[in-house]
Amino acid sequence: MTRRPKRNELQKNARPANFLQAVPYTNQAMEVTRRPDGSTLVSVPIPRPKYLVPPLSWILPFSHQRRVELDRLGSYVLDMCDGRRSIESMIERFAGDHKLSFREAQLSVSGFLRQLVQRGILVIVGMNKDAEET
Amino acid sequence: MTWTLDRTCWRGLRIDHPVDWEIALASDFGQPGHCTFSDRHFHRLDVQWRNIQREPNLDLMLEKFRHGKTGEKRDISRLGLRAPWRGVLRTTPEGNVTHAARNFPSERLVVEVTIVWPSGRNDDLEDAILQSVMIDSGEERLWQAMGLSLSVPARYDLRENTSKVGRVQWEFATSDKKEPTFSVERLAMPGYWLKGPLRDWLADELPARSRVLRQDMMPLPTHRAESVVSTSRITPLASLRGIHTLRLDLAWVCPIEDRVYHLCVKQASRLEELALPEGLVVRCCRPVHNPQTVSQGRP
Repeated sequence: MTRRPKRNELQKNARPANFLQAVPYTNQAMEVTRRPDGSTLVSVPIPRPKYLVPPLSWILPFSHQRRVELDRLGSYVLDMCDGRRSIESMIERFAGDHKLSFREAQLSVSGFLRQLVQRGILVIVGMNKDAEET
Repeated sequence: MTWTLDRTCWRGLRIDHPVDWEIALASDFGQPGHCTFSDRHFHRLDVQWRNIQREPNLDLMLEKFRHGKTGEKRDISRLGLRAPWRGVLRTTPEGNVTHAARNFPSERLVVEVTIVWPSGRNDDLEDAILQSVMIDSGEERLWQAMGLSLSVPARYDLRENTSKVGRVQWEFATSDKKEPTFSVERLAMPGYWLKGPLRDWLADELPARSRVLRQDMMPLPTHRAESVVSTSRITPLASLRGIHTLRLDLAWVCPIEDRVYHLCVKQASRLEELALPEGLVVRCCRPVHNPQTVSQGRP
């Protein structure tokens, strides 16, 4: 049985090269609604918390979906998350399309991907060579 | 092997480096000179420069790299660099590191350069970087980094440097408070955020309670710029004396770079006319480096 890596081990292995080679995957359970102006509405199902039982659930409202609205640029980045493209190639394409330097595109794309991960829209699957060897 | 080199000029120091080594750290006003460049994965180049009183012993300076922070001995060998550079090569399991130093006696300045070689040292590139280091000591100083390129009278110094994603702003001033101050801003992706005409955006950039005196077009050598001359109050006492902040704003879109340039000159004055500081040149239409085409420049 493989040991689950500790948090500080994960941080130690989180090198820029590993992050750039990682591939983002979209949440298959989410609903995506395209709008004519280029924006996108994403609805991500969220599980009911265990503590939210009657009578607490009668008082506290609970939504089964988290809705996130993405503007034109956000939709463009989300569309690039096809499960095949690495973060590095996404950044390169974003930089090339918007005449940005790699660093400018890296800061904006990686910051945006982090927000999508926090909202449950994406997961980032990384290439961790050290973990593979152990 | 060939590389595409880019030039960075910061606080009087010029250095050439591969185009995909981008500036990651730059020293602020009042600090010793320091710039760090990194590629996609590593910090690659670190440059530090400072004024000195006496001629330094460069070999003694480089001896500090012989021992680590905890006192452990490092694997160091002396490098035969082209004069006047002196240098050592540090070998680590992850790669090699070049530490080099040189003195500029007439400017009383010492420059230290560190280059990281994760996949093997490249002598030619190392030599090209080291030999490109120059000190800018003319009446006009070149400032070139983060996509901006300016020629500025030497009496002006960079007081504020704001660098956000796609938005770089530099503010210059002299030690004389009567002289005008100016700022230059470069904004990326205007097709995304510029919803209306540039003229309207420029008017929105003015501080609250500004009084617009004139708003018209100004032909520049390469583009047509929108210009606004406005005034705003400083203090009630200054207003009684007829002194206000006079402000000239210029903005233009560079289609080659796909950036908006915004130049703002400010001065406390009784007048209603304000000219650009003599000798100030803002260069745009510089070729945009596409990261998708980087194949060379990596040693």
